[in-house]
Amino acid sequence: MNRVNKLIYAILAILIIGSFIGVAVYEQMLKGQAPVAVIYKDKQIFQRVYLTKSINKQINVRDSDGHYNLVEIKDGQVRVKEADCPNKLCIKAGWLNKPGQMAVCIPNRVSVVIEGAAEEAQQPDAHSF
Amino acid sequence: MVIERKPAAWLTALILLAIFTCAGCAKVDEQAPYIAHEFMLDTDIIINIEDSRAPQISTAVFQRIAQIEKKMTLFSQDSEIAVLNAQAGQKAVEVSADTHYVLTKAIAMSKITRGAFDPTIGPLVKLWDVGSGLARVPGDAEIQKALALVDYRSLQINPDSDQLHTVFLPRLGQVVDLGGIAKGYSGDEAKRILLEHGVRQGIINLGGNVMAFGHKKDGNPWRVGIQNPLAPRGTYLGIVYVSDKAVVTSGGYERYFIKNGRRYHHIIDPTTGYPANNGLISVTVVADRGIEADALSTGVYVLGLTEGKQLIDSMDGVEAIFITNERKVYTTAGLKDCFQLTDGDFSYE
Amino acid sequence: MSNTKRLVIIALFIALATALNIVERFIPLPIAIPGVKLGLANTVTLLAILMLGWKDVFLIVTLRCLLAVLYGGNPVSFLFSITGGLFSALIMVLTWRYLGKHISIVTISLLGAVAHNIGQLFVAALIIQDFRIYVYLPVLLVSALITGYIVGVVATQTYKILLKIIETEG
Repeated sequence: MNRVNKLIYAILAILIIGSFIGVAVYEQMLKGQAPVAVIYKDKQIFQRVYLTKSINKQINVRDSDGHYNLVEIKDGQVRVKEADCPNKLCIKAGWLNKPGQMAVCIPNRVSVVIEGAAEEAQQPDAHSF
Repeated sequence: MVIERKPAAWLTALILLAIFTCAGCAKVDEQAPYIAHEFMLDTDIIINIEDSRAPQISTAVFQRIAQIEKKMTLFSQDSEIAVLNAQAGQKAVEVSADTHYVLTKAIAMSKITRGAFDPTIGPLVKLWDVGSGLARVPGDAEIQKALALVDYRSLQINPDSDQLHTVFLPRLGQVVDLGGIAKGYSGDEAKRILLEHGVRQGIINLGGNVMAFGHKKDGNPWRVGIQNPLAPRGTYLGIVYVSDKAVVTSGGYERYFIKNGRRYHHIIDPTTGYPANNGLISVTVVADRGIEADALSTGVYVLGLTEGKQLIDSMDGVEAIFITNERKVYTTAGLKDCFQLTDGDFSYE
Repeated sequence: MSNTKRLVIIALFIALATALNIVERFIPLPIAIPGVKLGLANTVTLLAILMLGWKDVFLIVTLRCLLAVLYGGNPVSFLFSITGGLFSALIMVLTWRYLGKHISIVTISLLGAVAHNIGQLFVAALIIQDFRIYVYLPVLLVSALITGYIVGVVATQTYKILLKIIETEG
């Protein structure tokens, strides 16, 4: 194999390893934070829901054209349950539960991202009353 | 043109590397948190631990709490405490080591709080009966009569060294009520059992009576939310950061009734016979042991801010958060760095 | 190559790419990430690069993407395939032109596949205005390696056969 070929393979390798490291660092940054499911519709925050075990609900993200994504929150996880988009990639992304994960529906411009809540907003571990 | 072998090898290596890296990220969830619920001690008990045998261990804890409840409840005729009360003024009764220990501890806490916490508060609690739905404001004479029976110093407990554990209520009509201390003791016992089973960290929440033992898995202290006394349950006004502590809150906001525009809550002041009214709406005590935190939170709530704070300040390893009628929040010195007020309606003093 | 022959080859390539596009839809993939596709039609792009001029390449890519819409695609998938396809074609054309003597077809294919996925992710990020979608990059890059490699090998073999045919048939 000649030098140019080698160089290109090296670049590809660096690109891939770099991307893995980048994502790992990103996830590490979010680690330990309280997971909050944030639903975006047309670049705007549609709803924020803390992913605690006790919250079970379904949120219908519907727009004026009648397009919809039905988001389900259950047992500290979130997923897109139903949608009218052609490829259903948002549904295929399955259940999400860790900060950093996301499900995207490009046709409807909806995304569900798990973000880490800032310390102040975090749910406590227990409640004394 | 021939397919080159070397790039193929490189590619394979890369793909393998990627797969291994992926596998590396996927293995994170070693142990899922386990949560067990049970209704006991007239409240919701939640155990929150991580262990491969969590269900069995939780069952063992619940069995232990059931045992304690069976001995100390007032809702049954044949609990040890019910029998003790039934025999008041007549004869000493024999009790288990558990009950003996809790009674001894209750008396000790009464002494420390100078009677603001008193396990013989029973006659007054019965008289007011807050939370039953039948509550009424008793007459002055009734209160004076019940008040005369409330006196922790009269309770006779034989020393622990004796073979038999016996307790005696000397006067007819006297009633011991361990409602202000049994949950705390149950929390201590739950923690002991969890430790025996090798569980190093977790949370036991006995109806708001929190035993946070060990620390969080990431090494940080537990975050315990303190109820906002003026908001619905679940709303917290601040967070206290603790490791290996019991956090117990007492306040008149949970159980009360309203008559003629006045609010009567369930924490009765053993010296006046009326619901405690010393300017506090809630007190949270943080201590090593649940039994102490439980009794102290009641006692300090009755004592009020000035006396209560003096008392807690004088005790080692015990801290407290006081919330007054004027929405002012006071903490003892040891909590300065571990308490975070999050609700802007309250001001930190 | 005569003009007629060129036109026929272009037509055949477009037809082949469209067919591959349709076939690909019926192949289930284990991962559901926007942009992860086998990219079988890239074989045609690659062959076009080897056998035709760069203008023809872009023509073929554009037309096959348009045709895919007619065959049951949708505006969004068109947007993805056209940007991914053109960006990938651009990278492959450039590498073939300037580094073609030094590198193998498989390498060109790999670069094309990687470019394809990065391009698609970029479009997705632009549409939802959220560049966190790049968390998918590692998986997409690895899948690009696999599909790019397969496409490269297939294109290499097909190219050899096609060359023979063209030479013998004159």
